[in-house]
Amino acid sequence: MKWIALKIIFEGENPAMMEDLLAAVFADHGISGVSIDQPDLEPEEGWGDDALPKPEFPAVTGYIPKNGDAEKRMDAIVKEASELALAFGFSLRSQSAEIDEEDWAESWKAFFWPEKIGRRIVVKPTWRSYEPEGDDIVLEIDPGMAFGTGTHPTTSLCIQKIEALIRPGDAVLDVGTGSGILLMAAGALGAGRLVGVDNDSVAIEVAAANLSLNGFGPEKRDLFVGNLAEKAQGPFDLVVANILAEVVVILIPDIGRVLRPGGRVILSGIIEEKVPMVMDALKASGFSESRYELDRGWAVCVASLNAPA
Amino acid sequence: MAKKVMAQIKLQVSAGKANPSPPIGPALGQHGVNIMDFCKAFNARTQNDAGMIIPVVITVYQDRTFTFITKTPPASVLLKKAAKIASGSSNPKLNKVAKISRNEVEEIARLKMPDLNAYDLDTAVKIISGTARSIGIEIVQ
Repeated sequence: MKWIALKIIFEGENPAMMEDLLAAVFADHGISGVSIDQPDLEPEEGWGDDALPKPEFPAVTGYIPKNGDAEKRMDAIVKEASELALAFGFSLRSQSAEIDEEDWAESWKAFFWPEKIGRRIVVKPTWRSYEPEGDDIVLEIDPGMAFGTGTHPTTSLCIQKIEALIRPGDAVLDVGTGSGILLMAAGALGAGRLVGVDNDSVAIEVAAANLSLNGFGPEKRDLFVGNLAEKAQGPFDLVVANILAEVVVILIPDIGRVLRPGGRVILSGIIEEKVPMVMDALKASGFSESRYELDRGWAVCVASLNAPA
Repeated sequence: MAKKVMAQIKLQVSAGKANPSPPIGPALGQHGVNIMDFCKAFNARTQNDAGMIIPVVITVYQDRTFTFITKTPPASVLLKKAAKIASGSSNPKLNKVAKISRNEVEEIARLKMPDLNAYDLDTAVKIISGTARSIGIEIVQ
C-alpha cells in the first residue's frame, strides 16, 4: 500500500499553538495521527556521535492513503492550513512525498537477531542463521506486521512460564496469538493440541505461516479469526493470553469456561500497576494459586482453575 | 555510562490504538525501532485514555532501544471535547462554532500545565484561551 506524506512547515510566533492547530486540521480530515518536527526538542541524556540532524523548522506531517481521493484531501488540508496561517500571521509551506508500506515494514529487520528467551527456546528470525547448542529448541519466525518477536519482556515471560508448566500432550489455547510464537513454543515443548484465536485476520495469516514453517501444519493446529468465547472448543489444559490487562480481565471468565478443572492460565501484556486488577479478576472467576513475576515493568500472572465445588 | 541518543521522534497518536500504520510505522521504522514493541507498550500505557489523541515523544538510543513519554492531549482536542464539537471553525474570526465557560478553560489549563510554557495558571489560561479563539470557540463567563 502506498501513502502520501504531506508535510506542512511553518514559522511564526507561537509554534506550540500552530502545531496543535495544524494537527487538528489533519484530524478534521480523518487523519488522527501525525508526526511532528520540533527543532527545540532536547533529550535529557546527551546526543550520540551518530545522532541524526535535528529538523530545521517546525512542521506537522500527516499520511494520506494513496487512492482516488488523496489529491482532493491534500488540497483541502493545505487550503485550511493556509487560511489558519493567514488568520494568525504565520508563514507556511507544504511538501509531499510518496512512501511505500514496504519501506518501513522491512527496515527494522536489520536489527533483529536470534535470541534465547527461555531456558531452551531460541527465537531466530527467518533471515538469520543460528547454530543450536545443547538442548536448544529453535523457533523460526517472521513476525511481519503481527505482534510477538519474542524479545519483548511479555513474550519472553510467557515462554518461560510455558516451559515451566506444560506437560506432554496438553491441549493449549493461545488467545490473541499474534505472530503465533507462543503456540510454536508450546508445540515444540510437546503440546498435543494447538489452538489460536486472534481478532486480527493479518495476525492469523502470519501465525499460520510461522506455525507451518516450524512443522506445525494445518493438520496439527487450529487457528481462528474471532473472539475466544465463540470460537474455542474446550476443554484445554493450558490457556495463554499475552494481550493487555484491560482485555485480559474481560477474557478471564471465558477462559475459566474453556479450561478443565485444575487447568492453568498464563496471562501477560500486563503492566506492573495493573497486576492487582488481574489478580482480583482471577479470584472472582474461580482461580486459585495465583502468582506473578515481573520483568522490566511487565508482569506475567499464572493461576489454576478450581474444581467445581 | 548513560546511553547515547540517536533521535527523538514526536507523534500524536490515538490512545490505546497504536498500530504499524502511519505515522508510527514510517517514523519508527526508519530508525530501526521494533514498531510492534512500541505499539504494545504505548497501548498498555494509554488504555485508560481511549478516544483521546495523545502526543508522545520517543527517544531512540544508538542500540535501537527506545523509551517514550506521553504528554497531555493537545489543547484543541480538549477544547473541542469540552465544547462537544467534532471540528473547529474554518473561519474562526467571523464564525464562532461553540461556547465554553471560563471554568472549563481553567480546568483544561490546569490539566495542560505540565506541558505548557507557563509559570502560573493565569498564563496557562491565556494560552488555552488563544487556542480556543483560534478554532472558533467563544469563552463566556
